[in-house]
Amino acid sequence: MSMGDVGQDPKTLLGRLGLIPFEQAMALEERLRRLRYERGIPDTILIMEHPPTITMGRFGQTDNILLSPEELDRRGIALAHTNRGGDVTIHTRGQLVFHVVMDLRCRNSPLRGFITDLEEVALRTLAYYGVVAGRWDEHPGLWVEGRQVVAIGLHLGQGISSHGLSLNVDPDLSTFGVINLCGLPGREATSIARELGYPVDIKHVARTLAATFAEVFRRELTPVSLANLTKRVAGAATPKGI
Amino acid sequence: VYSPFDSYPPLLEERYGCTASVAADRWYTDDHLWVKEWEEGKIVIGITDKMQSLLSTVTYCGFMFEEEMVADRGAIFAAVGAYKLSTDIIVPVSGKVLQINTALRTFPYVLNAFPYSEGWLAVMMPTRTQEMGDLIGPHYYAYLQAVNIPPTVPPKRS
Repeated sequence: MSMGDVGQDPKTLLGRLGLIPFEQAMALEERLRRLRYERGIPDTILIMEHPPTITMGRFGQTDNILLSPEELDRRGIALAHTNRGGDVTIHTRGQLVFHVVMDLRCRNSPLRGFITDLEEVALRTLAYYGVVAGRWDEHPGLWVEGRQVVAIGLHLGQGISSHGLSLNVDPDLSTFGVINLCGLPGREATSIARELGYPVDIKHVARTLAATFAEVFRRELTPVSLANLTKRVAGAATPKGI
Repeated sequence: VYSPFDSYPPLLEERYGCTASVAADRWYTDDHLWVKEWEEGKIVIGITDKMQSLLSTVTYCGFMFEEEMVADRGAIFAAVGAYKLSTDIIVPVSGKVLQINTALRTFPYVLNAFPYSEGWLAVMMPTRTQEMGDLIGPHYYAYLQAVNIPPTVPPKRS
């Protein structure tokens, strides 16, 4: 396994954003990506939860959303178009969203290996809780007997990655019925809690996920709060000399 | 109409240890795009062999611009996707878009097979020719890929 990039700075910021609206998180992430490009911050990972939001990838087909916009409104599900790869997915409470803002400009091996490494992070996290998931050719993400537990979609802009994966810990699985998961009709979602048969503390899973990331990518994580991250982003936006 | 069949590009012989091939007859950006000067001041842009090898099999190519539109440097010109990863193609030099290689929408994997010829992205007429000076030469591009260090030029602000 490639396991991280040799010679990369191991210092990585870990932003635990808690429950945050999707649009707000994306605005922050875009500015972090820009800041990373200008080498204003080290690599940053974000762990968060979103209120119910359907997100479309760049290659997404709108007919994979099975409800009308009015019905989505009525159910309080937001819809967002994103620049990541992949098709449609849904975020909701009880699902950990794990995004990576990392500099891949020095990378020499195919980026598919980077995605495989991210999958490895999720695989090991699931294994920690006793859930045996696997990869499925041509359908990135992780699956337990044909049920999706982890969805993946990334974006690369100017050599900096954004977006990442979402891991179902204990969401209301009926929410996932409103879309064709990753554009595959008839596929259902599952979660750690459903596979185990008992609830799991999402904060515990978040900690395990971060620790596994540090292990797989060989990074040293420095936790930062949302307030601190926002301050860094705002500080960088102010033109110097004024 | 631009036809890359006119000539297959001459490749750099001395590659400084760079494993990807580098065409000798054009200019490059640090984010793996090439810019070739064509006739009457027009330029052709595309992705390099290094970028296609990073992406693996390209399954999607979509353009954010249409012919006759003016694209500023730093804007997102196209999105190229492979295996759940979507990559931005950034406009390397400001200019008016004259032609787009729309065949890539149907056959995106041509980008993998012929990044320097049939996989061209667009023909443009530069509006700010001084921006051509910010591009890097094929030897320096190959050198940067071989030593695997980030370029020392300050990043361009879009």
